[in-house]
Amino acid sequence: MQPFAYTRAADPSDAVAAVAAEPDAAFIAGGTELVNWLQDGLANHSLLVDVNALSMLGGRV
Amino acid sequence: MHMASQPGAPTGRLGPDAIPLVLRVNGQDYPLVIEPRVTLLDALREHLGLTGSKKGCAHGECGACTVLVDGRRINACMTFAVMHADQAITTIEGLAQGDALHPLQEAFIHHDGFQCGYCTPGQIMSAVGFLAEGHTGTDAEIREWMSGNLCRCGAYPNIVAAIAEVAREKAC
Repeated sequence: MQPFAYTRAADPSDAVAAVAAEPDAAFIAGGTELVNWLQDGLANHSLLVDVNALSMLGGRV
Repeated sequence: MHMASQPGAPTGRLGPDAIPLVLRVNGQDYPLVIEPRVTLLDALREHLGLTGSKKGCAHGECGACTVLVDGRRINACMTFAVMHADQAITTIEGLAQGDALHPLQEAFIHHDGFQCGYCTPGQIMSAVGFLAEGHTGTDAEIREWMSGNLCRCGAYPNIVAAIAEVAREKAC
């Protein structure tokens, strides 16, 4: 798995801004299937933006 | 159970180099310095030495790595440790109270709910989650809600019997 940076979004606009600002960024929530893709080298991201803390998703995973 | 505002919540852009974080596992705080790409399972097994949680498939299909995060069962191989730096993690090592086994551990022994035992920690952690979710504990319901935990030895009848026994006791 390639290294990546991580940040936790505080609200939806924060999450969208973080991903929009970086071409290789991606959202992560539950991790299925993104973690598999990262492990198998099918996906590589410079930054993962964790959206679990956003209340619209119904709470943390 | 909700601990999003706990002081350990990581903020800002972290990594990709190793970062300091604290994992709360079985009520104990473990400081760690790991990269964001370290899965929760690898953090538990390789960095904390808590090898009760097993790596079966590492693809989220077998359930051998099941742990509780804030009381909810998840596959530890399919999530990153940094995502859970402010949550309460429970592993198989945290179930017994001293020498007193958890009722599900007792029931798995009593019903011989395993052969090789490799899937057992995941089976038991998943069963803890199953009971906490408030299912009635019929055999059909146990089989459905435990379907994320595979047993290649095929000990399913005894696993179901063990969980059903504890579910009945809980209902009394």
